[in-house]
Amino acid sequence: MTTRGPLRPVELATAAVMGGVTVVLAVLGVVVPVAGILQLLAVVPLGVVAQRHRPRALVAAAVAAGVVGFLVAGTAPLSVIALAALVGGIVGEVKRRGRGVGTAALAFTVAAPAVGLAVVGLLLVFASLRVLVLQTLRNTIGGLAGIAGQLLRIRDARPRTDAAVAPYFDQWWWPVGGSVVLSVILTGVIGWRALGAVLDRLDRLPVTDHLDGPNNADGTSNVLPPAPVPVALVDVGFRYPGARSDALTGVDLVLDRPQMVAVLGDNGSGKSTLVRLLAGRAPTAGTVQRGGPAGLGRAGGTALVAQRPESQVLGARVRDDVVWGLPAEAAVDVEGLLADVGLAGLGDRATTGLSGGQLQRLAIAAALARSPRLLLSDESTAMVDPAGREQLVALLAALPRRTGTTVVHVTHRPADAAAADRVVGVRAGRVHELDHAPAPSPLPSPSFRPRRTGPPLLVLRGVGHVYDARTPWAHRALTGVNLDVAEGEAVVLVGGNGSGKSTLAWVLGGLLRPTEGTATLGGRPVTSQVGAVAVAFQHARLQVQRPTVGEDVAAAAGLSSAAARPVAQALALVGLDPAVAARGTDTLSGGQLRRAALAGLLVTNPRVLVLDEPLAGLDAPSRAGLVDVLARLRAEQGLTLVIVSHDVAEVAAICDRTVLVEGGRVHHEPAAVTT
Amino acid sequence: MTTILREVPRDSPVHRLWAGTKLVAVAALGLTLSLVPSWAAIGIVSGVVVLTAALARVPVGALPRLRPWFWLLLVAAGLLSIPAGGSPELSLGGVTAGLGAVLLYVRLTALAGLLLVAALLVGATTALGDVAPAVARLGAPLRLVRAPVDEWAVTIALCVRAFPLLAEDLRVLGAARRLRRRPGRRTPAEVNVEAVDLAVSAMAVTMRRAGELGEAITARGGTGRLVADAGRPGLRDLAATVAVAAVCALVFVVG
Repeated sequence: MTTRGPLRPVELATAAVMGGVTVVLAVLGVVVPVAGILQLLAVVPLGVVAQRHRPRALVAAAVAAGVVGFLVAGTAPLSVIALAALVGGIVGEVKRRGRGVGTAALAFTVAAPAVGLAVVGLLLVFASLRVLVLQTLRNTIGGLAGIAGQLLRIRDARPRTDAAVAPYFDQWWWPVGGSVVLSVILTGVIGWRALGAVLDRLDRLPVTDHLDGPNNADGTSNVLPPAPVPVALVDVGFRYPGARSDALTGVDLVLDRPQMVAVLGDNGSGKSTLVRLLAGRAPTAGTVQRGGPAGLGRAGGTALVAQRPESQVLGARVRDDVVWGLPAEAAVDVEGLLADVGLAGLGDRATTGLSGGQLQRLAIAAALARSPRLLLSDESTAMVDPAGREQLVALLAALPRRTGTTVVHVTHRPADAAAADRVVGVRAGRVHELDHAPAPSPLPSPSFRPRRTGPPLLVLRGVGHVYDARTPWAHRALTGVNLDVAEGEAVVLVGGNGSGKSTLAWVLGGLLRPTEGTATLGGRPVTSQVGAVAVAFQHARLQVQRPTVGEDVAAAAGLSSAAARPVAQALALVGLDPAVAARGTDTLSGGQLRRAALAGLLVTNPRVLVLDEPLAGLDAPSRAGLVDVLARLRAEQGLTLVIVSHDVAEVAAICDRTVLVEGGRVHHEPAAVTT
Repeated sequence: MTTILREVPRDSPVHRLWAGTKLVAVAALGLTLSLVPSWAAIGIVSGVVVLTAALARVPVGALPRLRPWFWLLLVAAGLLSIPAGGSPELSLGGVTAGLGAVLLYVRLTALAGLLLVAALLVGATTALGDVAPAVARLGAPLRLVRAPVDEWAVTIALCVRAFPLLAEDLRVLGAARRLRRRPGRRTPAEVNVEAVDLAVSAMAVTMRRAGELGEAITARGGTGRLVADAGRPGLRDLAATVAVAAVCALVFVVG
């Protein structure tokens, strides 16, 4: 990684995101008086930036936090942000250089008095404001003393206190300057300890930009005109730094004409590595022959559309996102590109309001703005609902003929490959040509006997929800929902992106109090018994919070030891190997992570389990495995299940009935899905 | 947090102003108020803010709602000033109370509230995507001292973009913790472990977002343009700037 020059993408992104967290903490600290502790915590994000990156990144983070903080709450959070930048900067920089507490103490000995002097200087300039603030403070101290005097029966408490504090207010620079120095030092001490604890644990979490390799960053590749295709991979292998085995071996692949190539493979098969090689990363064995550099993101080069829809959008408005990052002089027909991907007329919409499918099509428009010769789609359809997926695949399949672009679409869905001109399989690091798209794997049919279900347990009556009610941004997500889930029953709630089904999951879990109607569990409001209904979120990563799976499950159960029996039972229930339980949660695959989150929920013995998109983004074996686990939970534990999904086929087999969620309403369907 | 940093979608003269003009105006009014925190100044600037809000057709509902206990705390702190007395005095049925100290407190609170509302008004009338290019243009003179202004503008743009994503992540993180909260008291050591856990998971989530954003930037071939068409100040902005300057001058004259 370079240590000089402009900030690299990952440095910019870290500075921006950590600046955002700082704003949240600083603003909450200003608006909520008792949340003053949050202001201390604002040291942490900026400290992380300083510890991981150059001081230049810290400055960018502080400036961004300052501007955004000013927009959110005026000048009030600026002092908090400045203090956090100073303290976080010192602590982070000392830790980055591997120095100890002595160096930090020395730095603070210099910095604290300097800040004190600066504050006194500022107060000399803003004299009227200073008088106003100090007098109000003095009055309040007098008032407090008066109340204390009344309670303790001390005569003349207020005037005597006032006389006692008077000299401090007359010679305000000493107490004010002194308390600033003290607070800087105190924040420094707390910051050192808090950051130390956090940074030690974060050390195991590398943030690597897999695309921004040395080969993409060197000077020559930006001078030569890009020529990503035709490309020939000859006996290519790749091993990640520090890995014990090759991610890819002996790969021979030629892309010599505009066509759509589907690359099929399960998680961990090496297909993402193949994408990175095509995007310009140098192989560790063999040769990649092309006419020029891959030119990732450059005009006429390579474009990439990745898996998570919301995290590759960079512009605030749709039309801004299309041109984001282009050179200032590039002429782009934004409206034309948006029309090409089916987003005509949406140019002025905010990107935050788009569905997953729309976001992915926007990403393709942004890719096309660079007239790429090679378009890489790395699982771009994995998180999109079926309707969005079909449109996306059709769009990708049309590109070779329309714009002469070679399209490489990586997927674990055989159905996606049907539209491709050519199908390539990746398995265990090896690549082989397939004659045609393989048949989709048969739906799992777990041995499941329908159970007799009990009385209604989870009951919704007339539930409606409006987000940000009574504001200009009021947005209705649910309307008049009636739903009964009986004890021991399993229900699938089906609906596309934006149908309100995730809101419904939150209401079912008691995590969201609906603005209309009631949600009850066993006759009492669910919101008063949070935890009785377990909710597995789509992003399992957010639910596993301790360093290892075992510790996480133990913490969820309120146990101190990961070796306790309930932990082992919960892990067995979700089919996780005890060896996995000892591993760091950052090393787990998507499927393992979902199971780990599930174990953490089951160990608390919930009465109902709600799962939000449990299969999204998983490959076929992981999906089948998870469906098996759910079937077993029903059969052996008699657990009541509510599954929220846009992918009904696989889970319907283990459920009693399907309920359709559409436009915030539910439609009951008499579905005979018991097998 | 969801209603913060969101534009109230309207087409008004205030919305059409260049983002930089609004930023400078609020900064100028804030600076003036901090130098001259008198009742007259607060009155004049409040008038300007209310007029602007009306012109922009921003409803009262756009203000963030604070919990009742915040207001209780605010009033309670004000009541503490009553014993300090001071003129003017208010006589009610034989009891005389000096209101000077309370008025002082009210003035300070009004000042803080006014500065906050003025800043919120910028956020409510400005498309957030326009802020970063405006900062790049406003900061142009800093390039003379080789400050990386464009880098800062990119960081601001990404920060604004990441804000809703982070808010959503933190919302889910909070919900995950609520699902796990067990009844009963915890020892300080347990609270400490929980706090570190929470900070680490929040940081881990944020760093993953940063990693994804970084890859997204690399996939676009690095940084460059931020918006499809960056607005530039026009005649309307000149008029607004003159008006704000006049208000500031008036405040200084009135005192």
